[in-house]
Amino acid sequence: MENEKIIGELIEMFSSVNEDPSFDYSKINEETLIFDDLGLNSIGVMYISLSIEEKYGFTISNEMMSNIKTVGDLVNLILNNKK
Amino acid sequence: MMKTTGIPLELLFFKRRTFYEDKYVQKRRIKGGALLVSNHKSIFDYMMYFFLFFFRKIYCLVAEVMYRNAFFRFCLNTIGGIRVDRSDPNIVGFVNKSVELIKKGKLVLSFPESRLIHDKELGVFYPSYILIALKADAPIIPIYTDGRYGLFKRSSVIIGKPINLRDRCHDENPSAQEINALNDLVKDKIQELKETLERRKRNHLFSFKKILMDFGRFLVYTTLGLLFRVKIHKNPSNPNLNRIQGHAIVVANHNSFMDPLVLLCAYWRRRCRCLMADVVVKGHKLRGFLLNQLGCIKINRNALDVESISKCSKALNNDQILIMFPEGKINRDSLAGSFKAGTAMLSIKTKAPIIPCYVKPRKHWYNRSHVYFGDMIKADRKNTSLKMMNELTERIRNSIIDLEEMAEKEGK
Repeated sequence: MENEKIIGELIEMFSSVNEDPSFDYSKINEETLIFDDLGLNSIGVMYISLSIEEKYGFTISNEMMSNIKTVGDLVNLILNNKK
Repeated sequence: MMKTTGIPLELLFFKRRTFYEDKYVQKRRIKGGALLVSNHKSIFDYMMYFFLFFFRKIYCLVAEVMYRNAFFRFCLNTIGGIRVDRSDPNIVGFVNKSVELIKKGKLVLSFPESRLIHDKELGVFYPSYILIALKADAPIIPIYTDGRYGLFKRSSVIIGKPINLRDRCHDENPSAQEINALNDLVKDKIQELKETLERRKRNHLFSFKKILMDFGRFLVYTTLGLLFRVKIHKNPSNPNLNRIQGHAIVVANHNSFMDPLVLLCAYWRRRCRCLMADVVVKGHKLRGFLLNQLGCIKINRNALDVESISKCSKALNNDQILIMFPEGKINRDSLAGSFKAGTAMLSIKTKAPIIPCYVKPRKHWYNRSHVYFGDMIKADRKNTSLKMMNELTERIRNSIIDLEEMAEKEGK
């Protein structure tokens, strides 16, 4: 339940940086690859990491970021660290 | 008389710290008539403004409830209260009285929330004050107070730049829609002042690191300041960009490894953070120590360095200045290379304005350093797409290219 809520909040963040109006956000699930499927570049990822820090109140280290490949990894990171 | 006898009360009860959005545009000394518009946190707000603008008499719009008590009625009539009956739909009385006073060159204070708001967010703004400003053809001076009054508290207040509504509404009888739009504009401005005040207060917090940073600044200005003898070429439309208050991202070309130090000299009044490649900081122990004390943030250019970007964002949210070189490396040729979009991303995320600069390359080590300032760039707060970031990056690049051309013309 909480996973779905976080995915919903992440979709909001992805949509704020993705300019493609035809992108289907309903297809995003825990297996979605951040770089390949969402088409985010490094700047987009940095923007989203800052948004996550602001929203969930924790700092993302480079080590944490290096382990993130999918939306599911991001959800787990938030669940384990959020304050 | 009342102000003079009230000074001890002010020192004990308010202990006010005053901040300015831009000290060079609007200080505490207000010339001529104006309408002061503020949020309303406490019943002592009027008293605080009474002392804040010590040498001016302030007339304040006061709700009818304050006139029920004979003592308060006497005090308000003495110090300049204008009675507002909130249940009466006829607003002509207090509007006309306020307009008359402003036209005579007096200051009128209005709390458009019309009641005490203890929430963190601003309340609903009632737009009758817009009519006063339009009829009197006077500027609105927005002010935000945090309302922390008391023996063991300390209050902070920030004064914003004046807003001239006549520049935005030329109609003699504006429609309700126009009035609401102006009301939203003023409310947004006061909300912006609230955010600015919170950042400024964070920047004023004591930290041991800041002492070390100041030591580093002292070393730089006393030694390198003499070597560079930085000549500032001011921007005619905004001559105080090197004295800016509040957070900002200073963006410049990167011709030499001395550029960060030249810009630190140009911004000697402020504690600046500078984004630098980690190889530069780690390469030499003493250099690394000095650069750390100067507030440099090291970034790994070959990886996704979210920690450094997070540090940059925190520095900007703490009202500091961040110096960046969006070319990402030293580029001794013309600015034909591409700029990285990190500057635009940080500006959009932190709402920090961008100040484009051009550091003119020195032919010899003994030549003077010249820094040219361009027009300040503010990012659109609502559009955060990657496309918008790329457009903003292009705008920054064009602005620095224009400055380069200007510098070359001046040099000939």
